[in-house]
Amino acid sequence: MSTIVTTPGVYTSMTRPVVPFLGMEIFELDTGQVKVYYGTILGWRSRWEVAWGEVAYLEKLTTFTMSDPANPEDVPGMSMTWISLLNRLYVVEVGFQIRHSGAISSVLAQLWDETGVAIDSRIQSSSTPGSGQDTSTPKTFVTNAITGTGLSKTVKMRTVKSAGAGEITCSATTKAMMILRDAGPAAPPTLT
Amino acid sequence: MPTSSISNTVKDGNGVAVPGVLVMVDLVPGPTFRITDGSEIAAIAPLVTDINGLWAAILEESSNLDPPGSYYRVREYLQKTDGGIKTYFFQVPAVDGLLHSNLVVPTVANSLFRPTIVTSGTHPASPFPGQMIFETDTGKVLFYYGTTLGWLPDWGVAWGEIAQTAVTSNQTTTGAVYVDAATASFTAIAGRRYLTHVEGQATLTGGATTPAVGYAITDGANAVLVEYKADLAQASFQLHAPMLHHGTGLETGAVSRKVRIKMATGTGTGGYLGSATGPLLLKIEDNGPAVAPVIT
Repeated sequence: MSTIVTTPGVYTSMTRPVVPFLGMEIFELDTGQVKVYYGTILGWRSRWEVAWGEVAYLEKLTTFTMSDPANPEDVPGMSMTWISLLNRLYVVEVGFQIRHSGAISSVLAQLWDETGVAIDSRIQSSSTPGSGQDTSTPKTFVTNAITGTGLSKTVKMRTVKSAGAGEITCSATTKAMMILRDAGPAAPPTLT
Repeated sequence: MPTSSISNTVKDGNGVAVPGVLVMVDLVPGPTFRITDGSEIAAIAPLVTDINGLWAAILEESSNLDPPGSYYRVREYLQKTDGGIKTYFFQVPAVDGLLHSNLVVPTVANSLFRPTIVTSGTHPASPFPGQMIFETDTGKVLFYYGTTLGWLPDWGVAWGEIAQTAVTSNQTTTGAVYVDAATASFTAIAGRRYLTHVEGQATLTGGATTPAVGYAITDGANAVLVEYKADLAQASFQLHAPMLHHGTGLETGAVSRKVRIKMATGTGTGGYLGSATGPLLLKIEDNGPAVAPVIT
């Protein structure tokens, strides 16, 4: 044999091999992506062992004013739902500015998951009498890695206010944003 | 279509023929077409050895395989107690024959691909889109994306951190106009998604008249991309003040990202603290593709 194969087969995303085999690797000319065949269920995916990067992004440009003094309330436009792949890791990053005023107290910004559980929390306090009781700070969330189950996942932002006024302050430049990214494998893929 | 039969009798370690053994035949390095009519060769169905330990497969002749030089691989799935899995590589001649008579030495062993081995200074002279190389001096596996983009990692995944600045001295201002606190530069590729992360400890001292410190991520020309403020209704504070920015996917060429600070309202001295153990961090990360590359 004198032929040495030096590259994956070159295809497009619409003209992939009709009879692929497990582990087959192709280069897609239209997407520029290298894909590996993981069987009939997973199909063609990027190489399993690396982080695939951004899955989804959203941003909020209008201020949300907290209104419920007793219960957590959703921040409109700050919820992300996706179909997770089994054994992939996902991380959600959130950036925002939170404000509290009008009382010696505090407000909370939280992340909740699809099971109705708060998974992370940030507090904004006003605790100095006579100074206007109006405070703002930039904050971020970076979740623990969320292991894909093959089912739908949700991460959403909620707020909790007990006293005074609170808001997630937003504008064209003071954005609240949420980024979902694939951070790599949690376990080997299920090959079929 | 020109085909021939290849056969073999599977035996265990004692030379005894073994019936009922699963036998898988496929092509190396991968699926092939027929040279004569361009049709694709279908996957070869699994075989099972008969009562005499024999398997036989009617296969396309090697001379009609496209790409030329493709050959066959057979795996005989013997139990461990019978010797374990046996793998052979063979060609199919113009006449029926035995596996033993048609064995070949594979050039790529059990792997599918062997990238062209180069260094970062000796790339292939006449590459084609999709060509894969391995650079021995950098350890990178790269693909050719045409004359404009050149050699890059797989476009479909995140490439990770590409620039970082750690400022280890305090960065403060008393002015109401933004000033620089940190700068990081990188070469952007159109269609990639860049994330900017800022981690730092905000500070205010000597504040008066409703003091608030402003923080921004800007581009190299000082255009504000995102901005926030820290205001604790106090004359002084220290607090965690992180920021994020999500790139447009349109950045290209030499790009800078800055952290800039100002007194947004009131008076005082505000900004970020910086030290060897608590630096102001400005980090740029490639988070994967925003759109497909333009392959030229």
